[in-house]
Amino acid sequence: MHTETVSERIHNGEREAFNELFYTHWQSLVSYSGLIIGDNTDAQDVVQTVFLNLWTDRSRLRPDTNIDAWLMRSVYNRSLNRLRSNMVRHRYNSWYSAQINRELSVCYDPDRNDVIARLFGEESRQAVDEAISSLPEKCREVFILRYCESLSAKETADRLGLSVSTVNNQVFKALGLLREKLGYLKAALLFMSIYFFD
Amino acid sequence: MNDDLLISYLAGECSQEQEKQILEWIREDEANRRHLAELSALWHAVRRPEEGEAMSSLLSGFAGVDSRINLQEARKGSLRKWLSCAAGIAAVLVGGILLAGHFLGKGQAAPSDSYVWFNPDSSAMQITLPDKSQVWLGSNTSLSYCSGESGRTASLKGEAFFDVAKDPSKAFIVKTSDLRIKVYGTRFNVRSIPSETYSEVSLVEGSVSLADNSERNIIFLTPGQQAKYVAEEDYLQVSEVPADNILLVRYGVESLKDMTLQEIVSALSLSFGRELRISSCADVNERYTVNYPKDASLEDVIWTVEVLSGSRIEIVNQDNK
Repeated sequence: MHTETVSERIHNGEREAFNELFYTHWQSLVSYSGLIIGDNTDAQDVVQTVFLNLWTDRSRLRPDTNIDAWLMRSVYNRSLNRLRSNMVRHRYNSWYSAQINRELSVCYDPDRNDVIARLFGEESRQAVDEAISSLPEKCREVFILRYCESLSAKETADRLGLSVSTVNNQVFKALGLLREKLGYLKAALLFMSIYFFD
Repeated sequence: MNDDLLISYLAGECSQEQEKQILEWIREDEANRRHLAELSALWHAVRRPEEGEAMSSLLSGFAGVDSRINLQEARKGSLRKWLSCAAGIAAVLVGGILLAGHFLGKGQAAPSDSYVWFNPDSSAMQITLPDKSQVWLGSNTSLSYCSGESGRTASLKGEAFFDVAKDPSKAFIVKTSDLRIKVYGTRFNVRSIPSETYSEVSLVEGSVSLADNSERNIIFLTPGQQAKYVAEEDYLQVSEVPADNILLVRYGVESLKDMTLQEIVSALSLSFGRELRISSCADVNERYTVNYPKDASLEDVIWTVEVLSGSRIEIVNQDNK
């Protein structure tokens, strides 16, 4: 029976613990990196490198290291670096959306913004899914089509037999409710202690 | 500013004019920036790829990490074998193997070999091709690109300016409805718009050869020449037209090519009418190429130059705000 923490197990070279960490965190970390960089292929590259370094440097892990926080911070830093070099090459983005990404990037620091930690951290997936399913029915339908499945406002309106302005109103309503629900989580979260590598 | 426009931005449905508006809006007020940041974070957090896609992304992501870890471990294994040999030889080899083991390399699966871009905006769109060539697409223009044994091929419908990365081993060919334009590394503009009767090719730097659809050679151009060609009549007209400012006039892009940091700073000083000072510079002799939209702010352009060159540049004599 494992009484050791994930951190300890990885420190001891347990590939299984490492692999499991990878499986559970991959999607949300790729989403997080994609948020900062604006590109999902690069995001995958970033997250791979972060995990690789975690394994390579595992001897520096302590039993009480907060792996979640370490992963997010590492992804944040690496994504910022990637963003800067992407910026200069103007790869897929227009000049303006590249500047917008740059302006927004400071708001995604996981240590300064606990909304980020909640949206992309370990508990996030379930919390977000629950928050969405608890929306009022019509509101939820509109939100899922428009936001999650990326239909245009017009397509959403056509699909559900609504007007475009109704669609927009329902989306605003959903966003307001989601912010409230995910904010509530804040009260329930235990204090996360963050340990830095030397 | 309304949330609907912001959501359109997140969905990638905005024109460049609208993006510019949004950029100005987030700079007006910290609260605006945080608002968009929150919307964007929520957007990325709720969007899940389809089941199959999610699984394949996870598997290929994991495969990449897994194989590299195994490679590292295997190299460490052979390291131990070497250490058991004579100390002198082992010392030299240890250095080499350690270096090899720590070289992580980049990327996993090879990127796909063909690409397509379309610019629906009225303003120009800049793209970088996989071979590092820079292309600016004019309004309503589409470009596809693929690279293979026989060379690099781009198919163009509309107007685009090309700054082709030099590669003597792989010719770069631009195909339009009427022409085949072959280059090796050079800067030129191609205009082939369905509603216009003629195609136009303008050469800034380097050399190009034009051929028609049946690969029959029409002409070689030298810098400063512009060719107008009407396929149906097999009519060709070549004139001396200096094309140096085509990027600025037709695409609204200022281009500072192959300049040292000092030259760049002097040019920016002149363009923006502000005094600039280089407070730290990584390499005085290194040359850089900087392209920016002509209505960009000086602060944004300076930031780009700083990132590119690893230097710090100050704007002197600021007005009091």
